[in-house]
Amino acid sequence: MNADQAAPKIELDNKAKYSIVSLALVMVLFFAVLLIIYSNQLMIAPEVALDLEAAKLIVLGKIPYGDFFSLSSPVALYSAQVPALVSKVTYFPASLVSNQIAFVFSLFSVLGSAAILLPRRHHREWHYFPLLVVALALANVLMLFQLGQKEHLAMIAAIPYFLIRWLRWNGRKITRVEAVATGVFAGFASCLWYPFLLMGISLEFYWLLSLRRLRPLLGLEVRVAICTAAMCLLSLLLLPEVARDNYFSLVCPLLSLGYQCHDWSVYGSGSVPERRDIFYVAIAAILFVLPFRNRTTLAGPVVVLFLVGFALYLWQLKGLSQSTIPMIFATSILLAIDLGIAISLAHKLTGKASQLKIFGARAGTSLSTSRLRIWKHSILGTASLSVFVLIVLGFSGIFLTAQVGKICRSVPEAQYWAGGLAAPVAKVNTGETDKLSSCAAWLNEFSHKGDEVLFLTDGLLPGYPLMLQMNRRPSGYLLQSDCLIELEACERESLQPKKFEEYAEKLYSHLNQDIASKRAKIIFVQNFTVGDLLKKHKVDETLHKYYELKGHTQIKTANEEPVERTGFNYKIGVFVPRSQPL
Amino acid sequence: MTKLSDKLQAFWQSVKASSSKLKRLPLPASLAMDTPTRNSMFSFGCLLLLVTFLRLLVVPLLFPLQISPDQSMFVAIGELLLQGKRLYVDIFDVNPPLAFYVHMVPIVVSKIFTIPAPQAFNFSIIACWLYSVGFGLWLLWRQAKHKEAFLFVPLVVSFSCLTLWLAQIDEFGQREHIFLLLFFPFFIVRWLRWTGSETGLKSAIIAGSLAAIGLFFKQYYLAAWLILEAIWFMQNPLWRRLVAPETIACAVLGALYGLCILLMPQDMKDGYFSFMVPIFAAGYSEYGTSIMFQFIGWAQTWNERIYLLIVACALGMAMLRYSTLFMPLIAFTLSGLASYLLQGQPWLNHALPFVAGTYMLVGIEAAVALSVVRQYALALFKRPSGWIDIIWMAALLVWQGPIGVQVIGEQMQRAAEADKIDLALVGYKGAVSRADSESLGAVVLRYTKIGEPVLFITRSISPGYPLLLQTKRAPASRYLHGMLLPTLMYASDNAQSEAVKAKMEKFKAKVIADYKDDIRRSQPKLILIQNTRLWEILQNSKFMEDKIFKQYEFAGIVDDHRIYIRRDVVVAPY
Repeated sequence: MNADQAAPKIELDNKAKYSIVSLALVMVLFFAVLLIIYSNQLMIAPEVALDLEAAKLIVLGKIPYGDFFSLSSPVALYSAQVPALVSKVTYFPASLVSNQIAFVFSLFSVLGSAAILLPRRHHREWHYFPLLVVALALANVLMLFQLGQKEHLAMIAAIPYFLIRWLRWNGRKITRVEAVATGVFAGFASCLWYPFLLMGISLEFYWLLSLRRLRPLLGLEVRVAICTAAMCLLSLLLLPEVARDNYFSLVCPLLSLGYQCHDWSVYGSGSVPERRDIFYVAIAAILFVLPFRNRTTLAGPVVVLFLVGFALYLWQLKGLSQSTIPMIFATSILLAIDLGIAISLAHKLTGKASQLKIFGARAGTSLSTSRLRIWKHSILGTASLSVFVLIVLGFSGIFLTAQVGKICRSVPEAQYWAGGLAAPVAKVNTGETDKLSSCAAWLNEFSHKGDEVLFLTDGLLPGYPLMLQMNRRPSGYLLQSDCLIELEACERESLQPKKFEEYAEKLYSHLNQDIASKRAKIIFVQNFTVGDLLKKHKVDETLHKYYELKGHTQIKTANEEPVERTGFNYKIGVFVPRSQPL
Repeated sequence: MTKLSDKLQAFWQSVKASSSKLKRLPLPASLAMDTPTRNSMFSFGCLLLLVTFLRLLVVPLLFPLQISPDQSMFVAIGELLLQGKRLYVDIFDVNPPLAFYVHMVPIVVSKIFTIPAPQAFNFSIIACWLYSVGFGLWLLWRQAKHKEAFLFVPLVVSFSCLTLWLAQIDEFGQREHIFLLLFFPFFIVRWLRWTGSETGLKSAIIAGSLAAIGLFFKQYYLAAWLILEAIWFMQNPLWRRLVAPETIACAVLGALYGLCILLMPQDMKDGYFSFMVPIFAAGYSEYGTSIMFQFIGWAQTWNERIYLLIVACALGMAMLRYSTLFMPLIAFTLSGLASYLLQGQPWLNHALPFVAGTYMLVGIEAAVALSVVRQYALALFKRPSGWIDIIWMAALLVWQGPIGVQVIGEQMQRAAEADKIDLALVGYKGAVSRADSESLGAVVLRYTKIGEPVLFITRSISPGYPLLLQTKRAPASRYLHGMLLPTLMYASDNAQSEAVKAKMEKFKAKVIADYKDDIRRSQPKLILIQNTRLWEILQNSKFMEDKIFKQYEFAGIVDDHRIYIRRDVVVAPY
């Protein structure tokens, strides 16, 4: 049975009804997300917060990779200038502006996908389209804590492009506007998040292998995407020389090698967020779709999208929800396809059942029975649509309520950034430092708005997004210290240890100078991980010379969104400047 | 110059002609086979399987005492069952009963041929492999005109790669391996039936009956099969294909097994359902790791296998229309991955179903690619199919032959260079290479004799097993390993309620009391307690303060194990 035969016949007026309902659902879902964004203005993903801090520095005239170090791509850093500048002009928190921009992009992506799919009312697989649009909106709802992460932005750009490519490979006509618009975004996404390229290439390879046609390979959208990506890459040439050199000689090798080096820190249960749920749901969705693969040409590429997402999750070795974003998007689409198949099966079964009843009640009542059938069909259709809407709203309502609860649990520091800064914790005494249990409490106690602080930890947390939320500035050259761990792993496992030794020397000498300058009002150093590296590279001596250890803190929430980490949850030492160096 | 340009012109013309020929080739490529190709492929497949067989034989012949911990414990339990001991009363382990009874077979083989039990076990698994590939190949051989005949031999050979790989590591003969070996012919029968090709009644019943043994080892295996059936049924809802002789045989045996469990004596049922199951349900996460570690595993090879799974499944999705084998294999692989994740430990044996699925997918994908290339080549050169078959088969043989010879040579050299142990110490004639855990093995051999009880209280099955099986010593306790104690500790520490905690504490007290009873009853000459984790647990439980331990003297720590020797033991010359 092919897709044409399998497709349930949906009348055109019904198609309009389904389109309207799906778009209405999208708007309701996005409205709910918008409400949450506005009621939690400082909620932001760690990596986005880091990029915003970097963007602020760029706005001040600092050169990326030269005056400060970050592992983000230049496109990500310069793009982050937009929310940073808007925030500066409007006095809205940078986190709110960033979330709003990501939100608008998400909405734009979903509506764009709807604009690509829903008007194709004669497409043989149209009955999946409204579900698909709702699924994409749901996938964005699931991103509540990942708004604006590179993977999220890449997937937002990827989905309309993917739909256009799917239509192109299946012989559908694509308008010039559709091709150019999706191509531009895809090209941009590939520079924002390089693994996006792997997704694109894998899908093209999939279609090439399964459809064995060459012509769609260089469709207009592909050419536009390549041109956009080339322009973005060429714009790297406009970067200052020091930024360019450091990016290619240090950041790129670190990114390519660092992820490959794993250690035992991810051994124990809870050392990474346990996102098994995604795998179970995705595998179930794939298993369901496999026998009905002839009903849709969309299932195959989406399964490949999931598998590539899985490979990237594995390659990054972080296990954070951020790494699962491509898989979440693919799974959401697969579930929509599954639901579409289930509905068409139910449609077929109820059709058969009513046919049987009609045959049973034959003899002169054909007119009334056919009217009855139409009426029954219409009632059933409306009822199932209502049930679907209720399920989607119910599911997203429960999910969002749970997530809102997590925001409150995971950001107990609200009292500090709410403006009052009335410390509810005990004042610090030399012997009672334990009472300051969170980093926010320490920051509140030993620094003020606008002060520089330094976090030397094996992940972005807890430094980001805390610095952004509490209006502190990152101090010195190293905006993120997890690169020290990556560098160590590269040194340990690389075939070119000398090359990485040089980089390490450079970074640690920067760090040494930054600590000695005493610009940071407070320094957080994670025991064992970064702590041991500081000892190894003798930065530890400088630290103790100019700073004194005041106490310890630790991330205390469960390892799940929005406070996620990779590795052991070691204690973090808190250092404040000495009045006189030792 | 003119000649050169003429030649180039001619070459260009021939390229253009070839490409137009290729364009005319009907697509998708056919996977049916002509008789000469079929014969040569089956002969070649048999040759490759023969090389595999020789490589498999090398290990048990050169290292007759080599066996891995889990497998050796199962064999030891099989032996205890033959001695009349009862599961979950005299012997405790968390696994359901069937696997233990199946492991009586190697003991019978060992007794019949008077060979060491580990060697008998390895031979039994090789026999199982022979059944699997032999029967599988025979079933396929009979489908001469099948549309996908080109994939038959690659399917069997790629499946055999799993066994070959396992022969080099610790997982040879694991329950998952046995399940896969017994399941493979059944899978073929089911695939043939669902695709409309019939198999004989007898062969269907044999395949179904033997597969039932493997399927009912663990619930995960049964789930994998049920998923396959559900998928086939959803694709083609024909009841007569679902209810076939092989499925009936399988279901009947399953029902009988269920009935046997229901009719188990009450004390056995209590021992399993009211003791072992609650403990492991609550505390098995003691051995769990993070999802990321499950993926990256203990060695790089695991990571590579996950990547291989991803690539194989993605390619399989792209090639779905070429063969009806892709869908069940992708489903089997992914359900294997799900069951691996569900089990929560980074243990390779749990990964075997998806590794097997991946291997078969890769084999089928390579065969499809080869078939397409072969057809292009045949269309291009207009020659009989024989010559191209000879080329690719010879290439494969040239590639695999020397590897086989080299591996066998390396094994022989390892055996020749290894220290020897006198088999008389374990009741046989001759000398063999030393097995693992040499130091602890020496302790056991020195202080005890064949058949005497030794007590190992360790966090995992090893090193108690395989040492006790290799040295033919008896377990001194109903608990063949100490895994229960850390599991109980974990369950107690992470209990959701006070009632559960109290229950686990009660179980822990029972286990400790049982250990003391067992020591009193069997009076082992040697007690070995793992220093890490176990010693701490026993110390906290004041285990060593019991008066029974006055008979024992602490003799030191060897390989992280505290050794206690009964004071009256006279040391044998060694």
